[in-house]
Amino acid sequence: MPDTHKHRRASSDLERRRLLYLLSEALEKLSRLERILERQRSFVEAEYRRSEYTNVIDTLVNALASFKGLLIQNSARIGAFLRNENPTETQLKAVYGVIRKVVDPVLKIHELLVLLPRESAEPQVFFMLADCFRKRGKLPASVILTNLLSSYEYRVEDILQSEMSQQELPDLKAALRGFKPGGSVLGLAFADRDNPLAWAILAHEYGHSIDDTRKIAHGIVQRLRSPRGTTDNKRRMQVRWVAEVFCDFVAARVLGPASLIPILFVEMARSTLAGSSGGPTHPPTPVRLRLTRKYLADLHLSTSGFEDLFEVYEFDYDQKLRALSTAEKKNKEDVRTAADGLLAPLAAKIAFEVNSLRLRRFGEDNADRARTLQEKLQAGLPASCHRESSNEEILAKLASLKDGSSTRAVYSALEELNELPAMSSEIVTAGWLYKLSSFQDRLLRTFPGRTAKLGLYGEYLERVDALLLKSLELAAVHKEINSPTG
Amino acid sequence: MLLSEIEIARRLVDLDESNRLTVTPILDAKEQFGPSSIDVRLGTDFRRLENINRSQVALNEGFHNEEEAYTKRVLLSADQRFYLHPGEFVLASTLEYFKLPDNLAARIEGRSSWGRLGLLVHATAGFVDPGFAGALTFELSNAGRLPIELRPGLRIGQICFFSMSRRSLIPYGAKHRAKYWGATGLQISRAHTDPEVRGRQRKPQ
Repeated sequence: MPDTHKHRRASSDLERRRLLYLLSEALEKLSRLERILERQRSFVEAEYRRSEYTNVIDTLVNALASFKGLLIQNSARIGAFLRNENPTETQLKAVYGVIRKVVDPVLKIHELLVLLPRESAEPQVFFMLADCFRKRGKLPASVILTNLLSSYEYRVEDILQSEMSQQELPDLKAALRGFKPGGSVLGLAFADRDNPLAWAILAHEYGHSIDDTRKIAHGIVQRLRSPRGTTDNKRRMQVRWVAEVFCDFVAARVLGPASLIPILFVEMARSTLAGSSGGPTHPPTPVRLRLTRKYLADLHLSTSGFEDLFEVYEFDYDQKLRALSTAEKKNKEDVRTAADGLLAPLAAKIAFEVNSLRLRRFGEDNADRARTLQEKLQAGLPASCHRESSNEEILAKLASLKDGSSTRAVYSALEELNELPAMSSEIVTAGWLYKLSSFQDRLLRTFPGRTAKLGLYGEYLERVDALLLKSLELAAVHKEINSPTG
Repeated sequence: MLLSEIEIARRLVDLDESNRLTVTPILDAKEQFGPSSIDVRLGTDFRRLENINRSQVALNEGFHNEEEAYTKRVLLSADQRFYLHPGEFVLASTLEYFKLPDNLAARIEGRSSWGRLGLLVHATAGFVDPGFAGALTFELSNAGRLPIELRPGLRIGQICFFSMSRRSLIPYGAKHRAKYWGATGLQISRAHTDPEVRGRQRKPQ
């Protein structure tokens, strides 16, 4: 087979896989927004029966319905794409077009939720962060639900500032002059309130609160020998870039490869690279991805189960880079070269700083346990704990009991049934492994032929959310009871 | 036939999945297993009725929304407390998640130590169908005269299991309307979805 033909086939395979992830993201955002609006309607209708406030919700619900309609209209095309292993370039383009027509406006609708009453974050998010960062009692950070533009911030002032500037409100910093800055407030997208898989990103944000307190990135950059004439702006950018990689490593250390996944989905959902990562505040995501994967490899942690997504993400970035104008492309490439030039030599120092924090490390044994927990999710059960003995071993011990066996022997056999709590990082990893291995099958069921059953995908997501929320809750209570003071 | 502790234990690790019973997590088998039952624990979520704006429980079209809005949801962390006051009625759930095979039914009851303090764990619905999967909802009330301090993880109930003479052909999950299947936390009433209730809604008497 000629090389160009092989290349085209590989590229078409990658494009197909990219569309699968994008389609899942489109359905996920639609379904999650619908769920939020449904909750809002329940409250509004019960509280203010004659209120016209529901009109706001109706407008958003109708908009979502029109995008669902678009998917349903194209269900034959999408279904054919899902079943066809070797689709043509034209088919892929057509499906990509449909998905983009849904994802782009739906992400904009998400931003409008800032106009509705704000829900609070689920308590399980605190269980997860407290467990990952070994904090007992009150966590020194809170979580606020916000829009995508302000999410992934870690200071309440930044979140408010971002929301206010979107609404052209007065300068917050001026209004708050003289007040002490608040603590860390991690921003989480509205849509991810019930989605523990997306919470993996909060481990990165929590890393910022560590960096903010200890000024680690600042210290690393300060020790750099900079060429004469380095401006303050450039210094600030370097500190921010180092801080991002520091936080990526913090998240990877406590959560493993799952810590990277939410940001890849966020980036893939965007239509272009313009305005995306790779600027004064963030180094380009491919650089962060490469450095973090290297860090994970140095920790002897495999990324199996996640490799496909990493590969597709890089392809997606490449495609978007190609779509830029020559000047924009050059700019992105220059930023990437500069980020690589700064960060690659510093990666070992950053890793040293992170390793010195004595954070709980996610190791290969945790990854193995996550793989076992994934089977529980597959069986429709919460994945909060595991037993040390196998069912066969326990059965053998139970079978050895006879009438008249001593109480001690009976208890000894029964105690084999005791379960040990899973770590939150294992639960989140199990969740991602389960989702990445099951979503394609769910897409096929959602688009079985000429019609689409979009509700099925929503039910699937709701079930995964519920099982993961329950798992985090169970593990937290389990640990509390097992603790010496429990 | 009521299962003994060893029969329950065997069912928990049965190699045949169609016979396997799931009760998870089991934190302390020595404390939890009784001669013919397993103690079950209080979960973290509660719903208390907020009655100041309600004149009655009306199973009308807005019932579900009203239940959502007029029950205050409280989700505790593992070390927080919940005070159940005399005469108060709240919904809560088991910490445990259950999955019953098609040939096993169950019954949830209170534990006498808590009953003596006035704690009732269900109002009237303690039976669990074969094929059920999910956390069980407690209908907690305090029949005593002093508030009772509760916290997640307390063993306030016990569950026993009955082996059936043959497998059910319509286990709970396959039932025509399995209203509470797969719940991972407490479930508010879905009485308004019962056909006889919906019928009344259409034809007011």
